[in-house]
Amino acid sequence: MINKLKRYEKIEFLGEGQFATVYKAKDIETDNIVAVKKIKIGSRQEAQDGINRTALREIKLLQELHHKNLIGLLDVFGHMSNVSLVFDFMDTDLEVIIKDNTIILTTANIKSYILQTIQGLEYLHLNWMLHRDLKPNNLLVNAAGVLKIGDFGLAKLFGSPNRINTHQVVTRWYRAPELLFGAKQYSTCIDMWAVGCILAELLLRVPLFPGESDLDQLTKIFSVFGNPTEENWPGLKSLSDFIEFKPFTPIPLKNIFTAAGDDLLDLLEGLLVLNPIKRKECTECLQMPFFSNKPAPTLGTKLPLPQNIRKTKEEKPSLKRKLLDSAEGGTLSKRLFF
Amino acid sequence: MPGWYYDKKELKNTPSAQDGIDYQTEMRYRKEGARFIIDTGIKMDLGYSTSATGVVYFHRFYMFHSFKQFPRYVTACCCLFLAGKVEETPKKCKDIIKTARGLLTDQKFNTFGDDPKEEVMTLERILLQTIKFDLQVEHPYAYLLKYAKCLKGDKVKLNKMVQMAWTFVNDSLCTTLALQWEPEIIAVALMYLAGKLSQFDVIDWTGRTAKHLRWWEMFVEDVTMDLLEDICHQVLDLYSQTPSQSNESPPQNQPRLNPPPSSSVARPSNGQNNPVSPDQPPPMHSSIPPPSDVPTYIYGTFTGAPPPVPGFPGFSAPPMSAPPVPPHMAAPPPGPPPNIAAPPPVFPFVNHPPPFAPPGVPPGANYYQPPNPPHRQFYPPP
Repeated sequence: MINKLKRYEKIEFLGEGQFATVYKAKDIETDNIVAVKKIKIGSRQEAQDGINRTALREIKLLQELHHKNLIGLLDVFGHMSNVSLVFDFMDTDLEVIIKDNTIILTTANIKSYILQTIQGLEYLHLNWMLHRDLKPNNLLVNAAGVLKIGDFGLAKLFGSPNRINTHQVVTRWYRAPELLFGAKQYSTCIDMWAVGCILAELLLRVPLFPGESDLDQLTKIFSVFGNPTEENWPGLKSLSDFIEFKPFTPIPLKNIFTAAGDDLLDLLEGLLVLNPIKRKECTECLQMPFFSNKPAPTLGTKLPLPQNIRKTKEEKPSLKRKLLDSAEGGTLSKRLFF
Repeated sequence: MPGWYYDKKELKNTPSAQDGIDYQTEMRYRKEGARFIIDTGIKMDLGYSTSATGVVYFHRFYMFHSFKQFPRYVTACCCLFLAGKVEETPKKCKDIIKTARGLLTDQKFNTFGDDPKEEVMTLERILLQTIKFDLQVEHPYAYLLKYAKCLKGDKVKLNKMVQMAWTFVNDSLCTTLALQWEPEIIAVALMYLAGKLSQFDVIDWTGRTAKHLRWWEMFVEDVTMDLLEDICHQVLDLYSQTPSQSNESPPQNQPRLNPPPSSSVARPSNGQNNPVSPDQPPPMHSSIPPPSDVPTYIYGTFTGAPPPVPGFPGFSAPPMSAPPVPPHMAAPPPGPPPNIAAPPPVFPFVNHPPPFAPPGVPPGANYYQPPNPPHRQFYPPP
């Protein structure tokens, strides 16, 4: 077996999470730039039960999933006590793009991002899988303008009607109301709510519902949509954490999203429905007028990127040439032998 | 993806074989490891798919390592530990070890060393690399149910046949079949066997076309009768092994709790000594016990028969491959998830997925019966 540790040449440190550290690296066999996620298996208290399940889920699920809008798991290898996952390298993510106020997000740009998101999610849902942690930070974008859904650490198969799931999923701001009310049986609709929140955030450039607690989150949601009732959401009151809120008067979405066109508002209204059963599914969304109306979604290469990424992109060719030069044709002569 | 299927020659030239362990002994180790995983799984209330996944990891592991280097019960615990996490039924390492402690003799448990937990945890990394992080494993169970739904005929007999086939699938985990054939083929073969033994004649099936001579041709192509017979024999051989002669040459040379069925039967396991042509009735035909003589679990008590399934009213429920619409879901995605193991069967085993043991029979107690007389009849020991 080839030494995988040597195959991926570390370029720079990218970040550190709870369970892993991520490096940018070069695959010396293909010259591709990749992201290597090194799973921590320390001797710490929390690591008492071996390799963590988050990493196992990513490995298990991503090995079976292949779609241009889902992050690709290119390789998995172990070295000593470590396990590393090799992913497509992605230059940035939607959170960075949304927060970068030098970037202008036109309707065409937003259409492109949300279209790619829903296409990736449609594939995921068709394969009976929930992502359960959609947020701008997990929608990765590369320099070619391709958006890929990443971080499958909370993803799970669904479909068994009596399967009990935890409602402690999805980052709070993107968490659907049924989860906040403690629903333990849920489905694709929880991902659709998150997509609605992300679409709203692309328009507003700030989170739509930045709740400070679970109760505050529901308050913020109801202050826009009004209180749900047993009429528009049957079964609501049987949810385990259900409580009555003080009455709110709903605000029309076009008062919040003043610049959005009617077709966009229709999509938003289809996604942000309190009753999960009435929420639109991916396939329905893709058939809505928003995606066939003008303007057409921006082509990938024309999508805006943060400044620092544009620069490195221009540098890339010269960097590559330099690396090849420094290899002194070592790889070249090797290839000639064949 | 790595290829996880091996031919018979490769199965006789494993790392253990190269390490001086003879074939029969290796088969016995594999069987004991598999049974131990199943037993531990039952004791810990793990579902059949978790145990089955663990067993497949176990078999794959020993295609790369020798039984002399890695004691089988430690590996078995580790496989179950990992399978629990993969199948979303996690159990704590220390609890698995505790259960193992109760199932094993002192001598066997000694192979875990001074720090059993550390031993298992360290092995997990080796296991992951050995199985090449290929965590998702499919089993014949789902196919068994899927195929059964297409078969027409007497519902009671069909039900009985499916239960018997389910038992054979359980037992097949103790063989190396999972290293030889895809789960679809194993399911077909063991349904064929169960059909013969329970006298369930498949006359018609849903989706039949003129070119189909046999029902399974709808699902798998180019499966010869010889192949089906071979698979059936490998499972049936489990029942004909007698517990008496276990001349061991194991690395862990210890006395045993229960006398294990020894693998000293001389007949090759692949049944090549009595080839059966498709035109001839298979040998089991002649000795099928009449149904009235069949005690409740006469067939396949090697890992226990599945419980009689109370709610099994024919096969009118939604197809297994398309689970019912989950709540809170407006439009169900069509079709089964390709490549991904189907969600656990919701029908007919909606309440109690068939455990490996029949209900009421405590695992361990009276559990691994010596082969049943009817089976001995088919395959008299040499």
